[in-house]
This record gives sequence, structure tokens and C-alpha cells, in this order.
Amino acid sequence: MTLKRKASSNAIEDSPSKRTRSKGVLLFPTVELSTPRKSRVAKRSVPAIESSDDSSDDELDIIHQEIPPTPSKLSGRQAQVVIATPSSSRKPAFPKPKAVQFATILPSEPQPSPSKKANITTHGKQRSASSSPQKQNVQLKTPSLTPPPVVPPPPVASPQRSPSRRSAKGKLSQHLHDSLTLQKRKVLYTLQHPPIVSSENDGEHSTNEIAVKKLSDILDGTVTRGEGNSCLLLGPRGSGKTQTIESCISNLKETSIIVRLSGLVQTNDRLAMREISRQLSSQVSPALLPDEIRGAANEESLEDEDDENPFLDTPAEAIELSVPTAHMHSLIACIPALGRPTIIILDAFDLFTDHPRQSLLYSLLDTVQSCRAGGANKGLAVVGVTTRMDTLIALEKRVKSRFSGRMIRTSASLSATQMKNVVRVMLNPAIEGDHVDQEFGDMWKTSVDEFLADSKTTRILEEACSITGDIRSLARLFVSPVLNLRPTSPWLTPSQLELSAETQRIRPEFPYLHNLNYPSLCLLLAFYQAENDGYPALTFEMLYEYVRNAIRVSAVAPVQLHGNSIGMVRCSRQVLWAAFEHLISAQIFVSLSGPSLNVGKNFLKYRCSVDREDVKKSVEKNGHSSLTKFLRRATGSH
Amino acid sequence: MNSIVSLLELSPPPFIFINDPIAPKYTIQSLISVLEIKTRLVHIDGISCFTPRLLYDTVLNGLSQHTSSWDQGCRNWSEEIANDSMDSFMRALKALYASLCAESLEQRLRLALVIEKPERLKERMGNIMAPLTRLAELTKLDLSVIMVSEARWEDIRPPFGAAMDPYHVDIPVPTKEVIIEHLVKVFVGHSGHSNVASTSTTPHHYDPVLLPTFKHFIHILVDVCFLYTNDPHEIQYIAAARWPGFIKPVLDAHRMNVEVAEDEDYIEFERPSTALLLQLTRHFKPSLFLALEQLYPRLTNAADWARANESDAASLAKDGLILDDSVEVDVEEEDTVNEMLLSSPTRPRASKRIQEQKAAQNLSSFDMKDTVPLSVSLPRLSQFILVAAYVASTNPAKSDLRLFGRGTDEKKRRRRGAKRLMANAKPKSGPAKIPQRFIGPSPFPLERLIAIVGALVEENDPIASEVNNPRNVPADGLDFRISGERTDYEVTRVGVYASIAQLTSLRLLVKTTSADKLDGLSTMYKCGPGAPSSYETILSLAKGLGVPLPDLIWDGAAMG
Repeated sequence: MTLKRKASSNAIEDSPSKRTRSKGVLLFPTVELSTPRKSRVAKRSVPAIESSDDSSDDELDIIHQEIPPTPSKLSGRQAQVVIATPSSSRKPAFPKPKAVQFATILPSEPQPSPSKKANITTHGKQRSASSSPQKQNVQLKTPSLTPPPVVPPPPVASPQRSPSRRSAKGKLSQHLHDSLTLQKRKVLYTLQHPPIVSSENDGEHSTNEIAVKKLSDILDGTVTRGEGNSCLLLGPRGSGKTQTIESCISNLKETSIIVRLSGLVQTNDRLAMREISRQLSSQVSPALLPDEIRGAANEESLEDEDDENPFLDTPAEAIELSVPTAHMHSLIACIPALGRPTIIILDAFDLFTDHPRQSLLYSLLDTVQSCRAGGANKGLAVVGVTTRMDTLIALEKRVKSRFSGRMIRTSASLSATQMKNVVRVMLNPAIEGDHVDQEFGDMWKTSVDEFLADSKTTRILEEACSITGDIRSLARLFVSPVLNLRPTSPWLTPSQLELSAETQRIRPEFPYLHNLNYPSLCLLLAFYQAENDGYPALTFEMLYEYVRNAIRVSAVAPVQLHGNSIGMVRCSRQVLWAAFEHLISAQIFVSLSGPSLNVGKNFLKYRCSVDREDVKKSVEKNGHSSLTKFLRRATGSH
Repeated sequence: MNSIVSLLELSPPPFIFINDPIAPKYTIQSLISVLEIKTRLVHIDGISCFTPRLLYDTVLNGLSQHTSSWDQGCRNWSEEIANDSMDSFMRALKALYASLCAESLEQRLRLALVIEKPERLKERMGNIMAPLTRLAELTKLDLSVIMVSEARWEDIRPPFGAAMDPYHVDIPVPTKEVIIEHLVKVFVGHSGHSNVASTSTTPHHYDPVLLPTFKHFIHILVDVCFLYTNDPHEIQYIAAARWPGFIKPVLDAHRMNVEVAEDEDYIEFERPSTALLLQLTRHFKPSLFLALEQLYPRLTNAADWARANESDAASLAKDGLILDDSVEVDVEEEDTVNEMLLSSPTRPRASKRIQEQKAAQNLSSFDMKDTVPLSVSLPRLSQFILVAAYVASTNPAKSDLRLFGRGTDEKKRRRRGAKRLMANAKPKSGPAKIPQRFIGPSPFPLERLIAIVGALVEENDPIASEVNNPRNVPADGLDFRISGERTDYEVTRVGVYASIAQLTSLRLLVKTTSADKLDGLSTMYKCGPGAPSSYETILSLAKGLGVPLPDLIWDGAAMG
């Protein structure tokens, strides 16, 4: 979205975020009237790793409606902050006292993750600005899990504005060093929390936008009309699945209970059930439940013949409970009876299908299916998130028949120009005017433009997006170039990017191979020679034999060069053995069988995981004359 | 290294993977020492945290800097049970973070988990790895997981792409300069430390005065070792073993000087002259290589090695390194030196210490010796059995008849066999069969072992052949005049089985079939790991017995 604004300002009308935002604005009164839980939800979603700027954006606009006196300032500032366009017409005339006020409000608020604030003050402030009026209510009413964390003071940069306009590209003058550090911090932060990408052209929507729309429609149905919904969110890694969900959740018009499970963590149904009960009990306190529901829930628990309805227990007790799987179904069935609609997000959905009999999925989906809209019950939505396209096949028949079959796809295919724009946005993050020197900011902007215009950069970016559309991996490419910025070389260079692409994207298998010590290289060469002779797996004894032979051969005909012998240096068995063990621990030599009591260590068979060509190249690169000779002999011996 | 630190300072990615093939320990130490100031950090060793529970508890206790004590019943940091699953762990982690934030009001808090040997974690608990890499995402805290490993991420990565891709950092292989710098730093740290402890009269090994000498020593040491290893820790280990011995003559000389000039003022301990340094170098250089060979593979430990390689006075004197003339000793024999030192009444304490040292030295050398010779510790028959086991393990079964079969013209036959053998071994093209010696011992049935023992005893045991006297005829109708009869009789005695059982319990032989089968055709044995399957050991054993082992190995041409 940010990208789009940057690219074409008239495209705003079509962006989905805009759409949702307008909805949010329209339905605003409900937000105002609803319980503070809404803010809770919003708050919970905000600190997610991939949380969108979108959400905060919308919240800001809500406030924008709410507080008439400051809209222009806010939005102007916000545009400056998030989009970071160089448009100076929207230059923030943001009153300083306001920021201070927000900062002072902040510490008294419960905030699940202060990390964002810790990292970057602009975002933190912005969010606090957006949610502070509601959050104060929150603290009063809803039980908070986390004690109020401390918000660190904003990083103090010393913006010494010197009138000297330096245009020299080489070095950075002394007074700009702080700015550089600050800029680095911001850029790195943005690189790790990439913004949402929106499509370039006005006519069609990108897959992700469609996904956001579809998903929010579904969740909307659950939240407002009490429907039971289930869907799958499919997409390759780093294609914005989590981002999509978080943005949808933060846009919900009514507060709902969010239960997040991950197949990576909840590896069996018992753990999953326990986690559900914990999350429910932390979000629903018995006092807030309407009486009839509480009664119903109590009945439910009576029917269960014991008092272990986890939804009504305090968290501490709920933890102690072990939910027997026999009761799981009935417990899940009473989720819709809770006071608010529930959204259950199953991350790594494919792993849940591995659970025995898929009973958790069965219970959830069965409950979803039997959830009647318009009754006393609230809605329940189950959203599965996965990268595996064949997840539907993995579902059992009875589970699949209860699943709605809705699949929403996200994709991460980006064109190179899109990619470039994303990068531009990431490299020009929002920075408050006071902290970075104006002069530096301009210089930085022009340098980034130059950097992106470079043909080498373009080529690398094109390569990157032809391999993967993963924004995170793209952003990783830029970490080390940004990191290596020094006052002496303050601007990004394409060669740095190339280097980083080499180490981060497609890594050479063993980059350090040519720097290994002499015995290790000897052993590798011995392996090389043995493979020539047709032995794919060797024991240490054989390797030793090869090395010993090589050393002996070179000792037979001593060659002297400039008075130095260039024959192979003697290497004792013990030292070779130590080197051998080193290589094993570096997993260059991989054992074919496990260690055994009956087989001596020197008789275990090993396979070499280094490619033959790599060995050759590294030895040539190492340039040790006797080793190259060994290599020549090894290749010639075939 | 600098870039990692600044990255962590500025805005840490949630997951960093550091690949350091040479010296991960060194990397971790320097990383921790730098980071400790800036972040809340816990160092996890993949070896000690071998269960998820241990891992969780270590992380939580480490981050909260909680040390459990016996008095409190070794309680962990959290009151709740936090170690039973990943959920509880993450919950506890969040609670911990909150409480830490509450404690430290002014500074921003950043958590870091430094994991050493993550490949062990993968082996032990593969399903932990993926959530661990996504810990920041799952807990929504400002934390980063840093893994430092010798192996590559590709080898550790959990399947199905479940884990997040790390930010890769490659540590370059340390150069000579880096190693020297590191060692000098260690020396300086040492001298700063121990200076207080050492008395004024006896300067310490790590006296700051000696720093230039140490630098010189390190340069030589690194020159010797760098070709073979570039792990700073290994070189540091070798240096620690050799340096005290290296500098000892200098210290001794100084001590003597002090004692001689007892009444005068304090003699300044000065650094040794260049000439002396060269002498020292010349004297000790061969031992450096020896140190590398023995200490780098950890065949012995540094203290023992230093004790064993303490240069005696005689050799020192030969190189002109005993500088003090006041000890007027004929340094031809060490014993006299000892006597002199012991008898001299002026230095009772020193002599006592030397005595103790001597005792310790003797003890250690004794310790080393008793593991070596199998020929001493085993009875003769057991030695025969071991040699036979080696032969049976290395040779294919079909070769037995050729090697041991004795017809009428045994010599001729034998020579032919040997010739054949040579002819067999020659053509070595294509994937020829790997000599058994390199693959390791192969199992053989008990009967075969006993037969070979019989053949060996028959041919090579002079004692047995002596007894082959026609005069003593045994009672049970056996005729010992038939050649081999006597040996047969001897070899099938219970004693042979008993010694095989004994060798098995010593693990010199290994029984490969299940333990409940006692004998019969199916009982298979093979040479045990280690000494009994090494050619050199068995060869020396065979020499002692008079068995021509090289002739008895089937593909003897491949023998070195």
C-alpha cells in the first residue's frame, strides 16, 4: 500500500486497504460503542512480526474521524511517517508537545510487546497515538496478562544542523555520524518488518489483495452474523499469509476471541486443547460472560462429570488440567456458546493433519458446521494457514466433508520493478524530522536512488525475484550492505549487495574450504583420489593410506625451489586423525552408520559431502604447491 | 564479528546463524563477552541441554539470572511449571520478559539466546528446532536466537521448510595475526591476574616482563602449528603446556641470583637477552612439534605432557642453558643433580618440591606405560589367539587352506601361494576390492579361530614342538607322534575356550552373535576395536611369538 502511494497517488482508490478503511470509517460508531475488547484485539494484532502498517493506518484514520481538530496534521504526519515520500508539501508541522504527550501516556498502558517501541519510536508513537484513548479503558476493565512494560525514551540523536552543505560523496562529515546510525537502525528495522506490497496497476488486484478481501468477508460473516466458517489460507513462504490474517483481524468490526495455534508448537491434540483452553480463559473472564451462557457452560461442565471446563477456570488452574481427548469434542462444541465470536487460527495447518485421527480438526470443523447463524450462539471461524498445497488431500474423509473447502491463496510473485519499489520504500523508512539531519536525509535519498538505478543492482534484484518472491529473503539481502555502512563509506553500493547476495541467498556450499588447514585438505584430496578410484565411502585407515602414499611419493623425488623444499610436509597419523575428527564435526565427512561398540572409530565408513569440483577449486585457490601437485596426481591417477 | 555486534545493537533479526568451521568456541566467547553488556543473554550448550526440559529451564534461568540452590530445593525461576511443553515455555518467557521490563525501567530490553552446537539439539529433539527459530514470531518478543555451529545450516535445517531462514554470518578462518593477537591478549590477562598472587622473589611464568619473550615464543609456536591447525584454542592449549617449561631456565636462573644475592637489594627481574632467547628456541623447537602431535589430538593432557617433557638438567646444560655457576655439579647424570639438590641444606623447600615433582613425573610415566604392551600383560596362549584372530579377521576364509594347509610339499606350496598372492594384488584398476585391513576386521566363526590357533601353535611354538617327544605317550590312546596330534589336543582344551572368553571380556575380541549362544558354528567373533585390530600392535605381538605375520596376511602386498 505504501508502495502504491509512492508510485501513483491516484491508485489509492483501488487499494484494498483503502476499501477496508472506508468500511471501518463507516462502521465506526459500532467500534465506539463496543466493549473495550475491540481495542484489545487490535492491540494484540499490532505487534505481530509482520503486522502491517495497514492496520495502524486504519486506526489512525479512525482517530482522524474521531478527533476533528487534528486531522490534517495527523494524516499529514502519518503520510510522512509511513510512506516516506519525499514530498515536502506534506512536511509535518507536527507539534512537538503532542509527541511528548503520547510518550507520557504510554508507560501506563498494557502492551504485550514493547519491542516495537523499543526499536522504533515513530511506529510506537503512531500506534500509541491511534489506540491510546481506547487503551486506557482497556486497562480499567479487561484483565491484563502482562504488567505494563516500560517504554524506553526515544533515541536521542543530536541533530546539529550545520549550515555547511556538503556534497562530497566519499566521506561523511562528523556531525552526520549520528544520523547515519539512526538511519541504519531505521532501515534495518524496516527490513525486518517489511511493508505490505500492493499492485502497481489500477485495473486488477494482486492476489494478496483479493485474499485480504475474501478473508475479511469470511471473518465478517462470522463476527457480525454469527456464521460458522472455515477456510484455508494457502501460499508459499513469505507470501504474506500471516500479514493477511493480521490485517483482517485488526479490521474486524466487533471484538472477538482470537485463538492462535501453531502446528509447530502444539504437536499433539492434547497440547493444542490445553493451549486453546489457556487462550480462551485468558481472553474470557467469567465475570464478563452473560449469566445464561455461564449457566450453560456450567451445565456443560456438569455433563462432563467433572469440573474441568477450562473456559471458566482461572488460568492457573486451567494449566493444571489435562483435558482428556474423550471430552475434547464436547468442550470444543461449546465454544460458540461463548459471549463473543471466536476465530481460531491454525498456523502450519498441515502439521495438524498428522495428529492421530485428526480429532481436533474434526471437532473444530464439526462445531463450525453445526454452528447455526442467527441463534443465540456466536460465530466460530477456523482459519488454517499452510504452505502445502496438498493439505486438503491429507484431510480424512469425515474431516474433509465438514470443511467448507474454501481456499484462499496468497502469492508472492513480484516483478522486478515492483521489487525495486518495495526496496525503495524499505530503504527510505519513516524518520522523524528532528532526529535525522535534513541534509543527511536528502543525501541518503539521492544515494538510494542512485543505488537502485545502478544496472548491477537491477540485475541482482531481477535475479532475486526470479528465484523467489519472498519479501523476507529479499530484505535479508540488504541487511549486510546497510550494516556495513561506515562514516567513511556511508552509501550503499551494488558490489556490497552482490557480496551479500552471495552469502545470503544462494550460499556456496563450503565457502571457507580453501582456507582449511593442511591436514584437512590432504584428507579431502585423498577422498578425491579415492573417488577417482571408485570408492565412494572410505574409512580413516584408507584415507590415511592415501595421504601417506602421497607424502611418500613426494618425498621420493624431493624438489627444491629457491632453496626450500616444496614436497609435501610430513603429517603424522595423530594430527591427521584430529583433522579428520574436525571435518566430521563440521559435517564435511558424514558417517554412513552410527557409532557402534564393536567397530573401531577408524573403521567407520564416511562419505564426503563436499562436491568434487569444490575440492578441486578450493585446492587450486589455496595455492599450496604440494597440494596442487597432489591434486594433479589424484586426477591423473584415474 | 563487528558486524554481528552492531547488527544486534541496532535491530536484531529474529534468527541468526553463524557458521564457524574452525573455532566456534572462540567465536562464542568473544560474542558473549561483547554482548553481555548490551543484552540479556543466555548461552545454551547443545550438549548439556539434551532434553527439552533442560533447554527450557536453562533458557529461563539464564535469562532471569536465577541460580538454583540446594536450600531452595533447586527450584527454577518460574513458580509455574514452565518446562513441560513449548507452550508453557513461551508463556513463561513472556512473563519473564514482562518482569524484566518492570525491573529495568530505563533501558530497552533485548533478549538473546546463543546456542552452541545446535546440531546436537537437532539430533536429540528435532521438533524443537522449528519453533526455536521462530521464537520471536511465536512469542512476539524482542528476542533473537543466535546459533553458532561448525556445521552448515543446510545440515541442521528441519525438513519441510518449517524453520525460518536465518541471517547467515560466516566467520572467516582465523589468520596467524589473529591467533597471535588472541594469545598475547590471554597472556596479558594472565599476568594481570596472577601478579598479585606471585611473591616478589619468585616471578611468575606470566610476569609482564616476559611479554616480549612470550611474543617471540608465540611466533615460533604459531609458525610450527599453523600449517596443521588454525584453531586459536588448540594453539593456546599447546602454548599453555609448553610455555612454563620454556621459560623455566630463565626463572631458575633468576631465583638463583636472588638467593645468591640475598643480602643485597632486590634484584630486578629482567627479560632474557636475545642470545639466550635463541638458545632457548633452539633447545625447545623440536618439542613444539612433539607437543602438536600429542596435544592437538589430545592423546594426553597439557599438564601431563608438560611434566613428561620437562627438560632435564643434563640436556639443558648441554645447550648451555643452565647459567648459574653456583651449582657446581657434574651434570653428566641427572641423579647426581638430584642428589645435590636434595642434599643441599640451604634450600629444603625447593628440594622438597623437586622431590614431589619427580615423584609425580614417575607416576605419570608409569601410568602411560602400563597401557602399551599387550605382550607383557597377556599369557602366551592368549597372544596366539589374538594373532590368530587378526589373521582370521583380515583374511578371506578361502585363503586359510593355502596359507595353513600342509601337505607333503608344504614349502613349495607355500611359495606358490605367495606368488599367487603377489599376482593377485598387482592389478589395481577399477574399483578393486578394498583390502580388509582398511575396512576393519570381519567376523569369523569360533571354529576357524581355533583351527588357525592350532596351525600357528603347531608351526611356531617351540615349546609345543619340544614336547613332541615320542617317549611320553598319553594315556587316552592319543599318539603324539603323529604330527599335529599334540597340538590338536592342546588346542581343544577348555583353557583355550576360557582364554577366548577372557579376551572377550577384555574386549580384545568381540562376540558379534547374541550372548546366549555359547558355542557352535554360528558363534562369530571379531577383533575388538582399537589396539587388537591395528596392524602394528599385532605385528609386534607376532614378532614376540616368532610368527611371521606378513606372510600370513592374504593381500600382504597392500601392507605398507
